[in-house]
Amino acid sequence: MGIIFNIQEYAVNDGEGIRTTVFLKGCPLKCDWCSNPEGQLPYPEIFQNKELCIKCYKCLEICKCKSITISPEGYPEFSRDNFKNCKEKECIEECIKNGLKEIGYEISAKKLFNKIKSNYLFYRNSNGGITLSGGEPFIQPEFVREILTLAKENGFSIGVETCGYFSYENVKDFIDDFDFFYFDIKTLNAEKHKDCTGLDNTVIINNFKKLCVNSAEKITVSIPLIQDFNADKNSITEIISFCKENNVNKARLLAYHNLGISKYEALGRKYKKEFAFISKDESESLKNLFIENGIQCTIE
Amino acid sequence: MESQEKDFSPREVKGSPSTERIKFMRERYLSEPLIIDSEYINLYTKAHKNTDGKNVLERRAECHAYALENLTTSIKYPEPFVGSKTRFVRGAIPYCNYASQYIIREFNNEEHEAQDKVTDLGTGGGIAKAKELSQSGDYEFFSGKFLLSKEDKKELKECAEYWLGKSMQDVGDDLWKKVFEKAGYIENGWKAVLYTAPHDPAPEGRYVLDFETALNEGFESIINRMRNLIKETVVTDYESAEKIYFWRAGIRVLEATINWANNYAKAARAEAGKTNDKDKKLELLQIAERCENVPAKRPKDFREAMQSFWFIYLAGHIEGAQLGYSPGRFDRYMYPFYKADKEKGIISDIEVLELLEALRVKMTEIEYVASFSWEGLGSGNLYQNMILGGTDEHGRRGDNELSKLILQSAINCQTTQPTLSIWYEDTLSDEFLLKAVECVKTGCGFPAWFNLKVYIQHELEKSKLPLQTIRKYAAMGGCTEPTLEGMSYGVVQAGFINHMKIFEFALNGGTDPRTGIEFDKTKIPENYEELKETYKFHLRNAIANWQRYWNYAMAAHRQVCNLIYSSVLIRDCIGRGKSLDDGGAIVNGTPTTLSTGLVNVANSLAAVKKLNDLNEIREACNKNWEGFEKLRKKALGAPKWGNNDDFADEIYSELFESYCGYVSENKNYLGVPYDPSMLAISTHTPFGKVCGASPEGRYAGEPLCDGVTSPYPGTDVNGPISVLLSAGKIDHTKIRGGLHNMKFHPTVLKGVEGSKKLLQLIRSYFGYPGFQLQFNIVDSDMLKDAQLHPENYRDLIVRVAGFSAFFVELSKSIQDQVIQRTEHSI
Repeated sequence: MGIIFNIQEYAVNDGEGIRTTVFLKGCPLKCDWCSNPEGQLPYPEIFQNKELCIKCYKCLEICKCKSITISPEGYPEFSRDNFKNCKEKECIEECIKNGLKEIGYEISAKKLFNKIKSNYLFYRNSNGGITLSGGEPFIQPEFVREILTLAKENGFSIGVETCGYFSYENVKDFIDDFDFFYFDIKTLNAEKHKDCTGLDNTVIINNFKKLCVNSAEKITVSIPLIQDFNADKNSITEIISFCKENNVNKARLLAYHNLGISKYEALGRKYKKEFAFISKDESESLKNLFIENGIQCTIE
Repeated sequence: MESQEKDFSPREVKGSPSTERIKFMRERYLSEPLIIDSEYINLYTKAHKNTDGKNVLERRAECHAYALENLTTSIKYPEPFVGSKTRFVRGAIPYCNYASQYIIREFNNEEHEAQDKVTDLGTGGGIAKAKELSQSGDYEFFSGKFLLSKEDKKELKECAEYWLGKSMQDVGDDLWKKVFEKAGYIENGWKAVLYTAPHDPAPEGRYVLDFETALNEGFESIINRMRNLIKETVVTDYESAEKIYFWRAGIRVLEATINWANNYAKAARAEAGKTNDKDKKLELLQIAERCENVPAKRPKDFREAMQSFWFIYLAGHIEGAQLGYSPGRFDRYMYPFYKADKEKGIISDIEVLELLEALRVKMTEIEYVASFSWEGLGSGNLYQNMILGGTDEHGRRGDNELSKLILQSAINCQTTQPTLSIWYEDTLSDEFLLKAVECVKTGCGFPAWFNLKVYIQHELEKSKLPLQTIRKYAAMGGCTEPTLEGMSYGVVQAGFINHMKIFEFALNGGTDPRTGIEFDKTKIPENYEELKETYKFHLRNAIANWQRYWNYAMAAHRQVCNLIYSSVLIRDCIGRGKSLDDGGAIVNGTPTTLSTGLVNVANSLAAVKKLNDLNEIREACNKNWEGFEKLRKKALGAPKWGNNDDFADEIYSELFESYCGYVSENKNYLGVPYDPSMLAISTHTPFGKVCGASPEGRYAGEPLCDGVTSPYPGTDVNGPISVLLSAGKIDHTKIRGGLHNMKFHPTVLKGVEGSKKLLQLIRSYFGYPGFQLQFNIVDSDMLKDAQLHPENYRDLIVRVAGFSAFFVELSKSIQDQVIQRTEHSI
């Protein structure tokens, strides 16, 4: 069994062709700019859309696990730790406005695969397939291995998007079987990395090097462009050198956006910090640095 | 527009008219009001008064011919080819010969048909302009959106009064209301909005003339063919005599069409005489020369072919109250003229493009006026469909250089008409397909994509014509109804059946809950199975009665409005010596029965099956879910069509099969089984308005589903592929037509890669095989802004349901529907 929080069809930016992207839940990193905060914790969470709330307090009446109190603005407020252990979760059913949802669910690899397999004609006609994303897929190594095996049996292309922070030991037997990787390299500066993601990047850098031994040509380095963090010539030049040392010649830049901001509130968390947007000119000039160094690069 | 769009994801492709001439023509169109022109019907009526006692075919021909020959010729310089339906840029002809009751009602300010109350019209654009001008005092405001001048009003009123009791509608009413045993059911059906309002005011269309023959042979030769047939025919009985009448009628209308073209030649010469501008003079003299030559003779070159096509096409548009009358496979039959000129080096692609862009403006200028409720249902659209691509008779790829130029002309000159479609086949060239996607990316909603293989299978089964014939002549007549070009009978039963209303009958023992009218009494169902079977019972009756009613209306059509000009230009009317209404066409199976809202019925049945407490659900629906909010939440959570969930999809498939079966049980006026079709135009809004809450979780009055296979907005939660997998489960070959709306955010289709992925999506869906796909590629935030600031979006075009429209001219409720459609984003 594994835990996922979304299956996205017709994903057109996660590899070649028409793909289905599966988002696995749980990630060791907690990046300040993360736009999928619902992917961070490895268990189901309550997702509360206050815009739909009519303050009927039916959820409060039915709650047995004492998760709910009333906020100063009059909205139900959840104790997330209590809710995590709640078995009934009747509040969700009770909310007639669908303002409460549970995000994240367990599913077996087989069941998941059967669901996405039915899109085969779309994959076949487009050289598409499946992409695992998250969260961090490789912290669920068994689940990932099962999906990979099923995909290979059916001849589907399968790729993975990883933050790089995982135990290589757990995946070393199968990781090279993936058809492609989007591997995040946020910065090579360990201190900055720890500051903005919560963890130091040593594990990531080591995993990257190990993966490059056999699979360098299958890797696209994925870089979120964040102002005052890595969106400058020096930081990018370092990443370029690192790519070249490891024979990786593809990169993808993702300019910062704050579209995930409302999800933080729905999850009862704070959006840590807003960053300035990156202008088109800035991202273009950083992209050109890659190209000048012989590395293919796209901006999304 | 640049600055206003800056906060939204921009449309990736935005074109502009390729020359100053086209820019001028388009701007002129956009700034003109809609206006009623009674000249044609006034002349027609005059001729009718003078022809009492003539054979009906000849009388019909004479009235149209006389009117056509005497129409004011209006040369709208700098148009590169001439000919207009009315004296105005955006004029509409009120065809009193089809129906005049609605015109009289309009003048008397009477309450209109029962359905008007539930009809919304658009208010922006040219409609707003008409409203503004009507304040001046020189004009009146007619039918919610047209200007009507004082003189025209007087003429129109006299005509409308003359035709009372003589129009097709009145002649038909006099028959079916007195002899059809189910007449009461039909009239109650209108009150309950089980059916769309009587469509007598604009029943024609859904066919394509034999342009290939008309262009290449020329009218003089066709006239000679008929003269010879008259000579060779020995009259021995009614049938052989009737042939003579038909050919004489045919000769009369073709001669009148030549005279009409010559009138334009004279007018152009006169204009040329008045100007000192050398270029203008030369241009007008060249136009005059062309009008002297065509459509009488074969065109000399591409420019002349454009003029000829326009006369041939427009004359048919004038003869009848058309909706869905279409130019068909224009890129096929015009290509030889293009190719010859290109080989000779006498025309450049830039010049061809200008002509094609001018054609877009001229086709968009045509307006129609019908009863108020029909205006709302059709959103004023004419559904002129030009279909590109496909194959030739041997199955080889059908796209050519001209096909690409046509797409380019639509990118450059954004207008609503003609709507473009693609007959999809894997053999079409990449450059053509990518150009088609580029056009989609302008956000205008076309081309729509149709799977040729599916239609071929349908037609092989239905008409049993040779495969090669079907391949070559497969075209589109109307928004999404395929037809065989130049050989198919036109008039379909243009009315729609409201599936959700039928479902309400089933739920409530055969009584309409809104009006209290009882239709066929049935037992109140107690469970899912009983409900489904009762629904099928009512469906079958509603279809059979509707079809039988329309056959009486067709009998009146044959008497009063039989199309002579179109008959002559559809095979094999001349050979058989028979008009369309007498069975002259090779294919007489086209008349379809249309319906809307089957998805809502399927979703409702799925909810009833899942929740398994019909009595509680019925009560909840009767109370519009008030006090049943928790039940509604469960109902909304029940399986829904469009999620690749067999629970709901199998119910839909079963209903679909039943529908197709029932439609084909009855014969049309020409003795051939009706052919099932489903589409929506804009019926989903008024149909939804009259229906109470439904078990799927829908509230009373909310619109129904706007497509045939597309999911109800907001109920497709798994994504676009699941939607298509559901849609792929029904047997599309059983039905003539189909409609599947998809909306994508512009960012999803970025660049050539994005275009290719859209093509892969289409190709995959057509592999199931699905039949139709159409796309709206517009940021919904932009549409919301357009509602607030229509003045900034005068030229924004969106796809509605089988047709594209200027967004600001749509009614608010239809605008909301377009915005609501689930937007697939990354």
